Amino acid sequence: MATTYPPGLTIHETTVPVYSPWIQSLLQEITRALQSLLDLRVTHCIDLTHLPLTPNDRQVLQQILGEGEVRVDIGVLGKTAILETAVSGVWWVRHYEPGGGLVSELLEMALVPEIVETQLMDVQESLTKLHSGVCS
Amino acid sequence: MSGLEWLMWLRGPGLKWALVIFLAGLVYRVIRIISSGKSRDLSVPRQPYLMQGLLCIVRRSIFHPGMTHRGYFTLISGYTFHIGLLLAVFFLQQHILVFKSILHVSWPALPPFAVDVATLVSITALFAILIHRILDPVVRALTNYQDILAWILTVLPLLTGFALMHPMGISYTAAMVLHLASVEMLLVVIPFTKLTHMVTLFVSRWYNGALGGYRGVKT
Amino acid sequence: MSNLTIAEILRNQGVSRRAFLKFCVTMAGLMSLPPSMAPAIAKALGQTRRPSVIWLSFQECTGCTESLTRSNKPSVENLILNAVSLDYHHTLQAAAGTAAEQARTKAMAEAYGKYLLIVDGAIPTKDGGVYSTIAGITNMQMLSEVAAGAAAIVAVGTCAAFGGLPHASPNPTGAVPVTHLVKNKPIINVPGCPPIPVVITGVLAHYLTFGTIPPLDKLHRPISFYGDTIHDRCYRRPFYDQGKFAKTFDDEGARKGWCLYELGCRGPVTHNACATSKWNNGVSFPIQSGHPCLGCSEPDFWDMGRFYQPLAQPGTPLSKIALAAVAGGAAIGGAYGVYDRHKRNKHLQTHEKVTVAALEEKP
Repeated sequence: MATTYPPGLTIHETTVPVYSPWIQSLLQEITRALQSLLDLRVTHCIDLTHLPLTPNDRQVLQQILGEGEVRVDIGVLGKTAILETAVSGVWWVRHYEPGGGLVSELLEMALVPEIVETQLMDVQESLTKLHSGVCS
Repeated sequence: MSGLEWLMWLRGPGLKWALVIFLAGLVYRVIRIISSGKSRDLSVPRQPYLMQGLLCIVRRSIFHPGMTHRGYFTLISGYTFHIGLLLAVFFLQQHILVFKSILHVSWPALPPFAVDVATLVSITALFAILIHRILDPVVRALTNYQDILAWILTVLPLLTGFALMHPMGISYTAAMVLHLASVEMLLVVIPFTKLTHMVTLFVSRWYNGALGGYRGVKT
Repeated sequence: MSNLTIAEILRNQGVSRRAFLKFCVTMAGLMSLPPSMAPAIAKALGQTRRPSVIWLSFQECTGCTESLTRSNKPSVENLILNAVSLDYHHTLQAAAGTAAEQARTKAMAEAYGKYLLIVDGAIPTKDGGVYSTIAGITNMQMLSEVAAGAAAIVAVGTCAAFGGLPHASPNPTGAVPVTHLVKNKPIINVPGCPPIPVVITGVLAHYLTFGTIPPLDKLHRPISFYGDTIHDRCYRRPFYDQGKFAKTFDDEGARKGWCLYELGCRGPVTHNACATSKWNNGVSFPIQSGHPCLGCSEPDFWDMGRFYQPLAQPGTPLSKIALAAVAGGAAIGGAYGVYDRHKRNKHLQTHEKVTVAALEEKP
C-alpha cells in the first residue's frame, strides 16, 4: 500500500535482507569473534563441516563473506585451500586428505590462520640443518 | 537374553508354537461344533439349507435396519474397529510377506500411509468402545474378565505395530520384539476365549440362516 | 618400545609442525570431535608415550587386518599406525618362529600393564582349546597370558567381539568371543565382518590420544560409530516409508533404487556406520550397491535365518507345521464331535419318558 508523504520530505528505504536462522547465528558468532580479535587478540574457529547447512546456505554464506585479497594453497598431508574473505579477519579454510576428500571446513577468525604461520619448531630444525651444512 | 536373541526366538519357536496353538485350537472348536450335528427335523424344508445359510451371512454383514437395536454407537464403532484392523493386518506389505511364507500366496498391498490411517482409526474406535463399556451401565454389568483381556490383547498389536512403523525413541529391535510378543500372545489366547468369534460367527450365522430358512423365516 | 612421545615420533618421521597441526584436525574428525579439539589433541599427543601394541590373531580369516591395511595412498590412518609400536602381528611382522614369540614376550615385559592388546578372531575352548594353537600353546592360554598385562583390549571384528563365524551353529570348536574369557580388563568391541577401516583407526586414535576408552554401549561397542542402525541413516529410507520395495534382484524396483527390505535387508536391526562412513573411503556400501545388509556387526548374524529372507517372515518354514496343526485340530474336533453325537444319541435312547403312572405314584 503506497504511503503519501508531504512534498519535500525524502525517505530512504533500505531493505534488510532476511537470512535463514543458521546464517543469522553464524554471522552473529563471526561478529562477536572479530570483536574479541580486535580487543583481546583472541582467535576463534567455527566448524562448518558437521553443521546441517544446505548447499544454498553455503552459497549464501560465501556470497555474504565474499572474496578477499589473499589465497593460500598448502600442500601438507593432502591439499589445504585457504581463502581470505572480504570480511577482514575471516578466513575460509578447507582441509583435504591425501585421497582428495574434504576432511574439514572451518571459518577462522584470526590475523592469519595458525597453519599458515611458520612454526618455530620448524625454524629451529632448519637452523640446525643449515649449521651442519645440509640444506633441504 | 539380548534384544536380538528375543527377536530370533519370537520369529522362530515362539511364532511356531503360537501358530500351532492358534490353528489347532480354532479348527478344533469349529469342527467340534459342526460335527456334533443338529437334531433331526421331520418337517418339510421350506428353503434349502446351504443357500439360506450363506444368505444369512451376507445379510448380517451388510447394514440393515434391524441391526440398530443395539444402538448406533456399537454399530459404527464395531464396524470401524474391525475394518481398520482387517486392513492393517491383511494389507500391509510386511504382513503380506508373513502370509506368503505360510500360505504361498500373496496379494497387492496398500501404501503404508493408508495402513497408518486404518491403524489409528482402529485404535481410536477401540478406546471409544472401552470408554463406552465403562460408562454404559448395562454393558458394564455384563463385562467379565474375557472382555477386558480381549481388549488389551487386541489393542497391543495395533499400538506396537504403529510404533514399529514409526519408532520414536525406541529401537527397531525393541519395537519388533514387543509387536511379535503381543501378536503371539493374542494368537495363543484366541482359541480359549470369545475371540473365536472370528470364525465361529460365520458358523452361527450359517446355522441361524439355515434353520430359519428351513422353517420359511428370512433371517 | 621407545620413550618418545607420539608427537616426537611423528616429527622424527618427517612430519612438520604444520603437518602435525593438520594431522590433529584430521584426527578430531576421525574421532567425531570438533576441529576446535585439535589443540587438545596436539597437547595429548605431545604427552602420550609411544604405546606398545600387541596384535593377537586367533580363529580368524585375516579380513580385519586386510580391511585396516588396504590403503593405496598414504593417509592419516597410516600415520596413526606408524605412530604406534606394533610389536607383534602375524601378517605384518618380519620375524617368524621363535624370534617372533620372543619379540612378543620382550614387548610384554618392557611395557607390562601399559600395552594395548588387539585381538582378532574367536577363541576355541572345546577339548582344552586345542583347535587353534600358536607356537605350541592354545589360544586360550595365550590370551590369558597377554591379557593379564594389557592396559586395555580391543576386540576387532565380529569373531573377536561376538564369536562370529566359528561361533555359528553347530560351533564344533566351542568358539567364544574375547568378553567370555577376559573379565577384569576394559574391552572395546569393534564388530563388523570386517569392520570399516575408519572405525578401527578412529577407536585406536581415541585410545592413543586420550588414553581412555570411548563411551561404549551395552555390547561394549563405541557409541560414536555403533550408536545408530543402518536403517536410521539409510538413504533408501524414504522408499521404505512409502512401501516401495524391490521384489527380486535387478527387477524394476531394484533398478530404481528402492528399499531392499523384501530381499532380506537386516538394516533395521544392525548397528554400524556403513550408511554414513561407507566403505573404500566413502565410495559405497552394500545397500548402495544393491545388496541387502547382512547384519555382520551384530552377534550371531550367521544364525539369524536365511540372508535373503525378510525380517518380517518367520525364521523357519511354517507351512507344513501349520497344515499339521489344522489337521490335528480337525481330527480332535471331529473325534470329539462324534463322541458328543454318540453321547446324545445314547442319552436319547436310554431316556426314560415320564408316564402319568409315574407321576401319580407316591414318592
